[in-house]
Amino acid sequence: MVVVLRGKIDQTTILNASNLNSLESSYYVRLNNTIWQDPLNDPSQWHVSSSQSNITSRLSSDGELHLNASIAPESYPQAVNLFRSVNFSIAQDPVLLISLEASVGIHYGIRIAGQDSSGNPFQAWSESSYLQHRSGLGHKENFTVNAAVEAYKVNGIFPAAGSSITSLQFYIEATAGQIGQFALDVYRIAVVSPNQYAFDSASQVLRSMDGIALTLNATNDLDYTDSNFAQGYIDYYVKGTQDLVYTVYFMHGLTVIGQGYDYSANSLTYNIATFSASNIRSYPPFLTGNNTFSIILSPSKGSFLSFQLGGFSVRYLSQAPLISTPTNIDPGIILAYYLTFLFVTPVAIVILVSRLFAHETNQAS
Amino acid sequence: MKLTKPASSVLLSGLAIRLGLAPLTGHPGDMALFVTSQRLFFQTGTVDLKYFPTLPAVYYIQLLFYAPYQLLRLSGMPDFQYYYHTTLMIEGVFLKLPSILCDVGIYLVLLSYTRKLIPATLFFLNPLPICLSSVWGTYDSMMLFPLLLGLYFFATHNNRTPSSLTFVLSGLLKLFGFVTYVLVICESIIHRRFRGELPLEILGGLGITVAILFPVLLFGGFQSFLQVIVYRFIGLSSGTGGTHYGLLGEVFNINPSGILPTIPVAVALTCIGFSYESSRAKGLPSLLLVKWTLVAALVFNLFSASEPQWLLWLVPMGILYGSLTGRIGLQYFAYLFGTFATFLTITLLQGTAYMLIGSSTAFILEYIESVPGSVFLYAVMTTTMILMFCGYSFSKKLKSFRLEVVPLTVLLYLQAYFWIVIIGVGRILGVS
Repeated sequence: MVVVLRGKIDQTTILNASNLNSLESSYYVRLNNTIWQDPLNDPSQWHVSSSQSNITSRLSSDGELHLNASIAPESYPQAVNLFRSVNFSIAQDPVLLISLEASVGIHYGIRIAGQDSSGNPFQAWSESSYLQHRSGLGHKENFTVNAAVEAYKVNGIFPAAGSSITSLQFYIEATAGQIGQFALDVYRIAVVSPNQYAFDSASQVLRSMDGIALTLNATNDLDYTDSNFAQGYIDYYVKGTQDLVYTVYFMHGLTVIGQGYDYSANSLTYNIATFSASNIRSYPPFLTGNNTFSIILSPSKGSFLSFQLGGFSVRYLSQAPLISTPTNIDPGIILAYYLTFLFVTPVAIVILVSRLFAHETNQAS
Repeated sequence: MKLTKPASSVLLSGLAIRLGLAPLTGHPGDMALFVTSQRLFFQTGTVDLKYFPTLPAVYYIQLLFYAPYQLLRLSGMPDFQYYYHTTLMIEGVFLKLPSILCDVGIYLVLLSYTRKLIPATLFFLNPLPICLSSVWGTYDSMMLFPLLLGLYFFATHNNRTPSSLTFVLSGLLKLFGFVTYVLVICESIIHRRFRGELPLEILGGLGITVAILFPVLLFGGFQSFLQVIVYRFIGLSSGTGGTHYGLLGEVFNINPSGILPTIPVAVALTCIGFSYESSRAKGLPSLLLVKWTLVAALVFNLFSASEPQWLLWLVPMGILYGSLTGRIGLQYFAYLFGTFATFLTITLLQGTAYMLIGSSTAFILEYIESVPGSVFLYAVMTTTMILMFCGYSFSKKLKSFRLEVVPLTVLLYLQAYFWIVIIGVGRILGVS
């Protein structure tokens, strides 16, 4: 019966895009097109301000920027800000590459802001962002920050055409009662525009890659929407730098509709990654085209050194797992039914059987 | 085997309970994985062995049970969407049917093996197998049925080879079944059955394994099978990337990068313990096999990257060992353990709304579900109960069961709830 019925049922409750036939294009991204770089040798470009007058701070630069602050104890939090004006167009999809080191014990953050073509300001940071209130680690950290994506996370929309990024700010902050000398050293600030390079995903590609995108040409005869996406898989061989940590995104246009776990691969590894809507927790640092479906492998640290696609499968169901809270549900009767069947009835019968067949246990003991 | 009237009544009531729950409930995530593979096969002809998320034997069995459902659908039978479940109502029942029938099989095996109604009833009407088979839709019963059947054959028919091959079948449904197979091989080696059963056991096991896995190789899924199933089970990989850490890892906040290779160590220690006792014991290898399979289940649950459904392994093994050794306390505690484990799993790990209406973000019983430190509370309570299980299994002082253990367990839960949820001791200590 299994063999006879294989593939014989009308396709009504599942949609699947898989195989290399469903792959429209594949490209990798390199962040190698530098638009602007701060040489970090002119402190006059930077403005230092403190939240309190009794904080002493000093800024110096020698190809690196050094902010030193002496913080006296207070009963409230204190901060030192380091700010400069910049100007680069959002149309270039600017990605900021920042290397810095903050002292252990202090907290720090990075804030980006801009304005649209009419001069209306917008922020590209929020209090809950991973770039805010970070603990100083005492060693160098690298950040790859897409300005348009950060603005999207805050405002829910991408900056309009003609917008530009106009300010870049760092800060260090001390909690109430904290005392001591703290430093923030900035080693690199560069703005790059991602370059895309096409490759044959079925063959092994050996390059330094800052991201990998696979664009799908899936047909959707069932008119399923993004909320019908159930789960996806992608399997591949991958190798990256020692510090490589990456995740997998499934995107529809500019919307993330699925995400995988975090993976590492510092030697050539076969991996099968699964992605689902319930796992979405971030946004890739580079943008894909409008109205396309793409699977993106994006590092949060390090970069890829080799990649070869094995296969993939993206699956939609007539009812996918729900990740929002439904309204207008009165669970009283269902819950009573559930608990009665799962606990009350079985336990009652077991008590009854135990009493009726007590001789079994008496014999045994 | 002829069923007595009471045994038939228990069987019918257990079945009615399961079939009453099955169409209205389900684990939306796991059921989505299963139903996707089945729909792909019957609607598009795709053999999903490359990405099927568990062992291929489960896939084959689900195909066999899902085919009649498709036939009924073709003949015009309607099916309905119930709230936000990822399967339709009757569709969900057909996917759960193999596990439900394996529950029935375990009931009959326990009835035949122990020749008593109470041990079989303590399993069949235990909320944990009911929940896992007919509510969640997972397949641990499918592994346990051949495992227990093999133990029964081993004890009663005195024919080792069919038993060991049944253990292999069990292992091909969930890898834990292979532990008992390895114990049988150890026993054959110790007693030098090099010209008798040992070659048959090894070659037969290999033959069945190759036959079951060959289609996976054919459809290009062997590497993903190794990555997602085998390496993950033995702790050399975190499977598809999720972190996996066990009960003790949660209690003591140990999470070494999601990779915990404790299972090979656990299997080795179990084999050494079994071999030592087997070499000294005269007769009764079947009881030793039951005992050391139970030990392995306890060790796996405590020390490896265990999952909540693994707790089910303890229930029939504990009941069987308790029945064979006259440990009434263990049999009843296994029932209490299953009941509590069900309560803890559905409230602290899943949420009742998840299984009932298919929503992972809604909470019906907020005071006991959507609580801070819920996973820590689950780990503390479950670890405590497994330790009590160990006591009932092996302590001479705990052979009988005292009813006071029930309120004691409830008090333990209330205490743990007070300290962990209200006071937030896990947060204060930095372990949750």
